[in-house]
Amino acid sequence: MAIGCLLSIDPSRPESAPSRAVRVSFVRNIRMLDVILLALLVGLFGLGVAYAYACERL
Amino acid sequence: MTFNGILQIALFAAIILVLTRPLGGFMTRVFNGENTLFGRVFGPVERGIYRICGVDETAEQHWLTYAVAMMLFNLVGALVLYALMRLQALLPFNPQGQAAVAPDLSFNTAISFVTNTNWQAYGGETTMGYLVQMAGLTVQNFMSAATGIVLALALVRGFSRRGARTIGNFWVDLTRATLYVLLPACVVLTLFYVWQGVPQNLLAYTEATTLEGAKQIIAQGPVASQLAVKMLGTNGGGFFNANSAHPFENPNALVNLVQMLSIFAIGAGLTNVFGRMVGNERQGWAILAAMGAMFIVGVGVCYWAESQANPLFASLPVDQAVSALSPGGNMEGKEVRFGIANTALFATITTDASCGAINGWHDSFMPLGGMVPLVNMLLGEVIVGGVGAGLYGILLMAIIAMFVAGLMVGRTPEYIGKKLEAKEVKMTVLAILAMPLVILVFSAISSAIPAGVAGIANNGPHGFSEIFYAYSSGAANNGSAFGGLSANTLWYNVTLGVTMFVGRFFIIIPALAIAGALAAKKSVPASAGTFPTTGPLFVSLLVGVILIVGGLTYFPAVALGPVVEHLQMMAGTTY
Amino acid sequence: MSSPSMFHPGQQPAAPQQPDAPTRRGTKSALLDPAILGPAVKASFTKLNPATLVRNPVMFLVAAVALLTTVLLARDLATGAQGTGFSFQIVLWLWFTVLFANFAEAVAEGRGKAQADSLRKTRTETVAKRLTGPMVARGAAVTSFQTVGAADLKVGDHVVVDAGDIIPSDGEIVDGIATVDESAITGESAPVIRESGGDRSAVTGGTRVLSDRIIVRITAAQGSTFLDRMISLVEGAERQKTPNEIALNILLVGMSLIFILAVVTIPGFAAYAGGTVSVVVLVALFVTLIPTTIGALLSAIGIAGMDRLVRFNVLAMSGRAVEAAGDVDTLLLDKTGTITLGNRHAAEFIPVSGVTDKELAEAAQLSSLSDETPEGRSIVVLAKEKYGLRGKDMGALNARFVPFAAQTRMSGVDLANENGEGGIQIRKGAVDAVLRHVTALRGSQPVRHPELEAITERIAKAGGTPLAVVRNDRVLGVIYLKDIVKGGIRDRFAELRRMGIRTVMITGDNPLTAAAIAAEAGVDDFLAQATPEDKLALIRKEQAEGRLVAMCGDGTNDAPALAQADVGVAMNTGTQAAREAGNMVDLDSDPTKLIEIVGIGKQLLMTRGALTTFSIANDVAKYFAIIPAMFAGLYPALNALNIMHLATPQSAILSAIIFNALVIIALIPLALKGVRYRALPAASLLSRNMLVYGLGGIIIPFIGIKAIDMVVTAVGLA
Repeated sequence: MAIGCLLSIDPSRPESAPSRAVRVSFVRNIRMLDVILLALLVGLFGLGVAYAYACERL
Repeated sequence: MTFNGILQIALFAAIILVLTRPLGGFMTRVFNGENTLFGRVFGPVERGIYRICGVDETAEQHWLTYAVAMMLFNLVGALVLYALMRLQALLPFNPQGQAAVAPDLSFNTAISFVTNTNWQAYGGETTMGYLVQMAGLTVQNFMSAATGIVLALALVRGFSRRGARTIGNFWVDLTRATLYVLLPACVVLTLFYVWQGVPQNLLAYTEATTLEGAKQIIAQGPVASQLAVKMLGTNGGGFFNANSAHPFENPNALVNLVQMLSIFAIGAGLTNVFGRMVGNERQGWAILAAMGAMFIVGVGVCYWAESQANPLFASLPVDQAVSALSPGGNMEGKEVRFGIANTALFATITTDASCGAINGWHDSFMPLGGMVPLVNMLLGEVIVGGVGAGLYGILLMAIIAMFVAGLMVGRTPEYIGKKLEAKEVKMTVLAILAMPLVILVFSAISSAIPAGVAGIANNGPHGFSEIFYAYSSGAANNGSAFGGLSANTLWYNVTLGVTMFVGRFFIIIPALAIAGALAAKKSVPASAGTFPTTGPLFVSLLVGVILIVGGLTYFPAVALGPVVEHLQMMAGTTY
Repeated sequence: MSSPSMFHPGQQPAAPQQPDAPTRRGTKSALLDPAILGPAVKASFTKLNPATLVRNPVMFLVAAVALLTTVLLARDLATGAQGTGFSFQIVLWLWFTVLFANFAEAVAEGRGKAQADSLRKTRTETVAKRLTGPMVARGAAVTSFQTVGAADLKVGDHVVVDAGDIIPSDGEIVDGIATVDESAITGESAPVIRESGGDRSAVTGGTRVLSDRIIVRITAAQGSTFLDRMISLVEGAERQKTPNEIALNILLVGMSLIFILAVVTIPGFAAYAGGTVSVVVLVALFVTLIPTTIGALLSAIGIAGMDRLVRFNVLAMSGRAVEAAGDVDTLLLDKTGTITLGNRHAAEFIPVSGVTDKELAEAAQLSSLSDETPEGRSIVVLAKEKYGLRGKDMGALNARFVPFAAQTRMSGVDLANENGEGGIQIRKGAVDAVLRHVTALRGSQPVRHPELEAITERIAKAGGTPLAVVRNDRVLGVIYLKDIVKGGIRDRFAELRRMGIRTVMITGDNPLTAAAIAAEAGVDDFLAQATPEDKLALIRKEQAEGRLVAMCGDGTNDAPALAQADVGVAMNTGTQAAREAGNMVDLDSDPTKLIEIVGIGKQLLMTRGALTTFSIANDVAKYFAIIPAMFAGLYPALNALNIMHLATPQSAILSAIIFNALVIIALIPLALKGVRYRALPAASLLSRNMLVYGLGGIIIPFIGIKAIDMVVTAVGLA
């Protein structure tokens, strides 16, 4: 494999312009995903803090 | 293997050894709050920062407070990074007009840069605008590196303090690590890189017409400033997709050497800080010796494996012999500017030190050559390791080693005068469990479900190696990619994000708990009945424990990946 | 044993046995005693009770997966599936693994139980004669008492015990002196003296008074007496996990968790490769990987460690104390009886100028002829050996012996002349006392004698005790009494130093004398003119510097120091207060035993460490046996890892699990006896143990599994 193939690890998200209807539903889904992932992110850190308190008591 | 190649590897090792003591001395003075040259220059800045942030620099923290401060700081960093990526299209410094980064990729990248992993499921030049690169990624490169350093420092204080309730002040340590260690060094390195031809601008990409008349877009941007901290902070996240194999990110052999040196510099120096703070520099040298032994073996195996001719090419018209013009061996996936020795060395260093930058293509290594980076990560990134992370990682292994060894000399185990009791063992075990938990569980799931298997580029054991490598890289906070795996999917972005988080914080927190427990203990004076932890016996014991713990945990997975692939290659099968 | 009248206050009875004869109590070859093995086999099954098993997490896991595979096997048998023969064998060996672990623990406990039973026999129903009237005056006849059962006694009651009676409960003699047979507790048949006042006033319930009558104040209620505690200790009924054992258990659980992860993820990897791995094989891999060897033997090691102490006639009140003994950094040893023989011996006669050697020797001999103290006898012996002076008949000499008195601090003899009057007074004693005596005789200003003082100082510097001798008011010279440092003690201290243990000698002597003896004995440091408070302060200081301190003591004034020390060994002859304060009791009352106690503590920890290392090192070979076998169908190329060339995948897995089970049985003797302990610096100890148990642990299973594979194949099991 040559160096040029490096770019193959990044088959970037389909950039070809989707139709307007698709784009709208895409945006809506993404908003949902944003909420979920941000909750997951904050949740992970919350878990970490809880873990610290658990470690103190163990 | 050529003499020239071995010489270059030896040169690298020698420079690191020379750098260790002065760097250690400097950092010790910085973290003890002693007067340094920078202190006089940046002292007002430091005090200004405390005043603005309302930090009382004399107030020390209990380990729990320290841990919570660290978590909060990193959470804020992750949220800011996430927001910068999601809102990229609306923000300035984006001449290429990069679109908003997808949520799952933003999630993955935010955790990746906060945890010092810098796993990149994206190509830098096609995804990130300059604002994200500078204010997001580069800032986190500094912050995650500083976080690692201060945590190692906290653990070292656990060993050096006696009957203390506190282990330092997170905010003060963080400020000092950034202001006095990382920032000055990075300024110097940036200027050096710019001089050597690394771009540093805010221009849009240049469109060029090649001699054949084809159009080519040449990416550029504020590369040098990010490159400096990427290496020094063992972050490894490239500005460009090709990372340090890109000519703009690694223009020549000198820059290549400096990059490799800056990966190990702080990590090696921290072992000396450890020695100095516990009052015996030889304790630090012993730790570095254990790291060094594993480094030498790793680079030796990798270099040897890559220097071998691929047996499957023997019948093809491929010249794999050593000659005046060719290093021979396996040149696939290697930059001709660096060749086999420097690629093998770079690959070993970058995976030893949880950096993850690459100047070659690990996926194209021979099975055994590619196993070295994998094993380096699986051993827990303790061979010099990520800045700070390597030190606290190996100290955890030293606790295990000394626990078993201590029993065998008929005493309650102790290390650096601190008795190792149930609490320390418990926390060490928890810390050691974190990595296998995420690596093995996610690898097993990914290799069994369609969402996971969909991402791999090759069949058979090589495909499994790709998955296994990805999770190992994430959990070890390395961030290097074996390649081949298409990781920018919802499944991989989320699971690797969780993997990186667990691999970072679920080790840090127990390590801090150990720091707190150790600091509270009194110190047992050494006697002839104490097993000395400065000699070759300790070094070999430590290496033995690291290899046994790592080996036993991952034996089945490694056997099913690179080992079986190697055996099958020998039998003539490839993937 | 000396007769009672020969005891002098403050003098220790001679240690009744040699310290290097540790196994007196119980049976000698208890390991193979059928009386223990029989019940142990039975106990192996009763210990399968989950409530018992859960105390040992590693073995609990094995039992859990054994149960799982048993259920799966039953299902396969019901559905008539293939390959149940192989599964059946695996299941069988899994259960054997658990049983072997139980057996190891049962054998260790069995040895203690046998001892407890023999102790219990002595605790027969005793009757007590409880005083009803007021405490009677010393020596007067006891008039009123009532006979009650020992169980009815309360703390604070006074009982009278006559010759031939069994002492009903622990107590303190408030009146009288008696010889007591304590063999029920110490195993030593020679009787000991117990008397009111002083440091030998404690008596133990269950022992028998041989002569005389004593009045005892009861200090322990039934059920909490020394004998009761001893029974429960040797039985292991109150056994709690010690700190190091807890920490080690955590490590073992952690290792097991890692292996759970390593094993449960294998089906995922196998699924990727397009195959499956049967549960039985996964369980086999899991059980061989988790540290079953140390897990199975851990509690046996702990029990055996306590047991070794008991065999050594030392009772540890907790396992924690035994462990602490291994950690000891500083050993405080009383000079008298530990470092030196209890008595001083005359080494030289040093006359002042104008007096011949012989003249002094003769006077010294005369003054000591009737002196039955060891010092006195040694003077007679020296005079005879060095000057050929034979013993003379005191009667013929018309001599009257003047015994030692606390007021004069002298002893001697009064000789009458032929007329029976106006004789000669010979006195020997402490130099200042003798000078005062001379002064009194002369009725003059305080007498000074520079030459005498010079000799005195020289002797003190050499670690000796000077005894001045005078005939009437004429100073003849000095008897040089020397502390005799015990033979071989210097080597013991050198040994301790190699182990990293500092020895500190505690003595009431003046610093000069103490320094000389310290140098001769080879101790690291000394505390001269020590009071109990000094002792306590020294312990606190050592502990503040992070050191662990061990000491032994017997007197009531030792109690605070015994309680403060990390390892406090109370002498059984000591007072009740001392016995309560210490965390160990030495039934033989031999202070040198501290050194052995430290060795036993270290051995306990070393055995655990060695077997842990062995157990983990074994895993390497097991992986090489099972992994190629497990994936033989998926990746035949992996057979290259089958470096032992095991016959078939089934035989490989079976051999690994059989080895894993049998090694438990094979190591039971080591767990009970403990790994060999030598006084070496830590580094050499470690490299030796690493070589034996680490490297050995890697190599042995390769050989063992291969051998079992050959047998399994030959017999046709797989």
